[in-house]
This record gives sequence, C-alpha cells and structure tokens, in this order.
Amino acid sequence: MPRETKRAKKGSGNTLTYVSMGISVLALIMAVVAIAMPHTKVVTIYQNATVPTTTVQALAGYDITSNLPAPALTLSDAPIITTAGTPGNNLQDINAQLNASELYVINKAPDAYFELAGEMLLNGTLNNSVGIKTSSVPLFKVNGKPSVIYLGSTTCIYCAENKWSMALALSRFGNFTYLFHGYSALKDGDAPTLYWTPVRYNTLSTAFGSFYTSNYINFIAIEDSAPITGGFRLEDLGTLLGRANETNSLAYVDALKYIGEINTFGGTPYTIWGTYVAPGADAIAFGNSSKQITLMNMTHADMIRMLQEGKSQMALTEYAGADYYAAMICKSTNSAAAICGLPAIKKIEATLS
Amino acid sequence: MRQVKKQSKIGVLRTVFTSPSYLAVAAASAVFYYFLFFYMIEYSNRGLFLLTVPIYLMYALIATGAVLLTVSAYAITRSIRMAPVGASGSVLSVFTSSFGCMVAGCGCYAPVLSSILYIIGFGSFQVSGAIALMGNYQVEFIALLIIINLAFIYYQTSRITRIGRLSRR
Repeated sequence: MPRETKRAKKGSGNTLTYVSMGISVLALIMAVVAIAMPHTKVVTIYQNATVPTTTVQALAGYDITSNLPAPALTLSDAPIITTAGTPGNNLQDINAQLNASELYVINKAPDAYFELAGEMLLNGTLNNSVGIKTSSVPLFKVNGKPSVIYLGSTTCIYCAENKWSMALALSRFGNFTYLFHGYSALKDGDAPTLYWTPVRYNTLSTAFGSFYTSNYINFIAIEDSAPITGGFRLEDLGTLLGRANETNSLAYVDALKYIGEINTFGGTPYTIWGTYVAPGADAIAFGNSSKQITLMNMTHADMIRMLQEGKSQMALTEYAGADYYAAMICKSTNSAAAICGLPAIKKIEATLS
Repeated sequence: MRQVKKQSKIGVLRTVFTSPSYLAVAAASAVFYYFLFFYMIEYSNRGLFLLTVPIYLMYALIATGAVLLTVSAYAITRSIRMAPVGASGSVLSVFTSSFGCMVAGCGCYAPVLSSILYIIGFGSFQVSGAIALMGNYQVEFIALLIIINLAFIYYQTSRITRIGRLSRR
C-alpha cells in the first residue's frame, strides 16, 4: 500500500520562485508601457514652456502642381437617412448637408471663443486633455500653398470627435462651402461628427477631397469608409494609395506617399498641419470632463448649439483643439490669417518647437 | 522511496482551487489583470475608458489568464521538472492579457502596437497594415487569446497529471 505522502515544507526555493515570477511579470509590463511612452505622451502646454517635437530627418518636402478632386454633393448609392434612431443606433441625416445656420457656426465662430479657450488651455483650467506630441517635417506644398493633410476613417470614434476641432481650425484660414452630417460606426460609438464630403457609408471605399477653399492653405482630405453599421475598419496605406491613383490627383497620391515616408503613422486620425505632424487627435472631447462620455448621446444640433454658445467645457475643448492646430499652421507658414494675431495663439505658438 | 500519485486534469484543478493559497493567487492575478486591462485601455485612449469590444470577452480573457497563472504557479512549486512548463505558462498568461488589453481599446488608434512595430524596424505601410488587421478583427483576436489560454491550461494540467505529484520525505 503506498505510503501517504506528506506535503513538503515550503522552503526558501518556493518563495524565491514566487518572487522571481512576480518580478518578471512586472518587468514585462513595465517594458511594454515604456516602449509605448514616446508615441503617446500627452503634452500639457504651459506658458513659456517648450513642447518637445521630434524632427524627422532626411525627408524631402513636396512642391507640386496638381488638380484636386471635385467630390459629388450627393451619392445615389448612399442616400440621406431620414429616420431617427436611439443613441448607439442612430444615423439620422447621415450625408445631409449642414444648413446655412449650422455652417455659419463653423465658418464664422467668434475669435473671442478661440481666445478664451486658448487662455484656458494655457492656464490649465480645461477639464479635458488638449495637446499631442508632434513631429516636424518639411512642408507639403501644392500649387504654391502649404497643406493640411487629413487621413481618417468614417468609422473611427476619435476621428469623429476630432473633426469638430479640425473644422473650426480650418475655418480660420478659409471657408467651407459645404459640410455634411456624419457618424462614427455604430459599434464604435455612433458619435455625431462632420464629413468633408458625402461618403459611401454602406461599403468599403475612400473619399478624397472636400468643399474647402482658402487663400492660405490646401486641405487634403482622405477619408476611408466602411459599412457604418459595423465597427471600426481601416484599409492599409497601400490600399489607400491604390485608390488615390484612381483620382488622377498627384496631390493625393503624393500625400499618401509622404505619410508613408514620415514613418509616424500609428492610427487615425492622422493629420499634418504645415510642418507639424499630429499622429492622433489633439483634443479629447467626449464630454464636459475627462471622465465623461456624453458625445454619443448627443445630436448634431446639440454639438452645433454648444459650439455656438461657446460656454461648456466640451465646446471650449474643441476650440482649444482648434487653437492648437491653428498655432501649428501659423508658426509653420508665417500665415497672415487673422487668428494668428490672437494673443493666445501666439503663446501657444511659442510652446511649439 | 518516492511514490507518484497521479491525478486527473480535473483533479489538478480541484487541488489548485481548493487550496487557500492558490485561490489567493488566482484572485490576486484576476484583480491585477483587471487593473492592467483598465489602465492600458485608459492609457491608449488618453484618459478615457472607451471599450469597443464586448466586455464579457474581456472578463473571459482576465479569468482564463488568472487560471493559467495560478496553474503555472502550482506547476512551479510542485516539482522542479514542471517548473519550465509553469514558467512558460505564466509568461504566456501575461502576454495574452497584455496583448488583449492592447486590442480591446479603440482599434483606430494603436500607440502601443505602433511603437513596438517601429522599434523593430517596420515602416508606415507595414504598421498601417498591422493596425488595419488588429482594428478590423478585434473580437476575433481576443477570442483567439482566450482559446490560447484555455489550450495552455489543458496542456499544463496534462503535464502535471503525467509527471504526477512526488512525495517528499
């Protein structure tokens, strides 16, 4: 009959094993987080502080002459949806143009809102995060003007919240003839947003172009699209380049090649503002505080009203995000646009390397 | 003379999870993985807890990761011959949980993944392909990680039952 076995005393060897295992686990996690640090650090702007910028070496700029795509105002295969839904399942007015009063809020936002938001950003009284670590690159010039390049996805929730700031920033240097109601994917927040052009929200496609005009800059908009009822989806740069070739627009083909050369792409939204690359959204505005997520329960009318009033933390965060983008343009292009004369913009410019 | 007492796979799990010390390990590792998951989602999303995959999948990943880590600890402490299996199991448990956390945040913005890929020499086109793959198949990736955890739990319990528990004088 086998002897009963006794449990051995736990010696110092077992203790050492546990400690070693614990240390190795912690070390592995710290290594992963440490690797992530340089690309994801959120930069808080302080007056007279310098925001570190990585310079991408050995890149030639672009100075090209090109036609720009003229998008359609309507798409018969992606019509406007008129039925209302519930938050999380709502696509009402997708692809519908902003009406005149809505467009006015974007195009003619008061400078005072940009100034107030900029001062709040600088003195740290914004509840939400604004700022992003940038890379410095040569200008991408088309037809003699520097460019803002946008690469995003209609399905992407961060693109959705960031496009409000982008539109406000761009409006300081030019004018949107048309903007369109949009949403992020239903399984990626169903957040109300703006589309630069009508998009094919029910199929895999890419929209190139916008209805933006400016004497100062070009706006090169590349918006990847996938079935809006699904989750986030993005095509790789190679596929987007192939689709850009079909536009016969050298500006869009070279813009994608340029993004490839910069080697900082880490997801969407990915934007270039003059000589500054922003590899992500520069402001996180989903609610009135950093822990609030109310954007997904809002309508376009709610967002427009908030931007028009310019009082809520969420609206001011969008304006501050716009200030940050505008400062990049002002600094890198010596722009004569009026916004570049605002005191807050000058202070934000001083924080950019 | 040493005697070998063989256990079934279920018996191994019963032995592990009826022991207060191993239960404590399981609970601690589940709590640790939960906070790791929460922290990495918030970190990737710049302070916002935005989950774009079903939360029950994340709970399943955390639970299987904790079980794997606990069985690994049991393997390490039971026998020197089982130590390599236990060690590899514990590392795998951390890897699947960490990778799952990376995948579970918004698929559109992948700072952790892109950082790692650029360091190992990928270019933008390759990184965009990896981000596209991860973003487009988030749910499938997490399901795969859960299956990997379960498979390794099965493998570990099989090894333990094969080697057996050695008596010590």
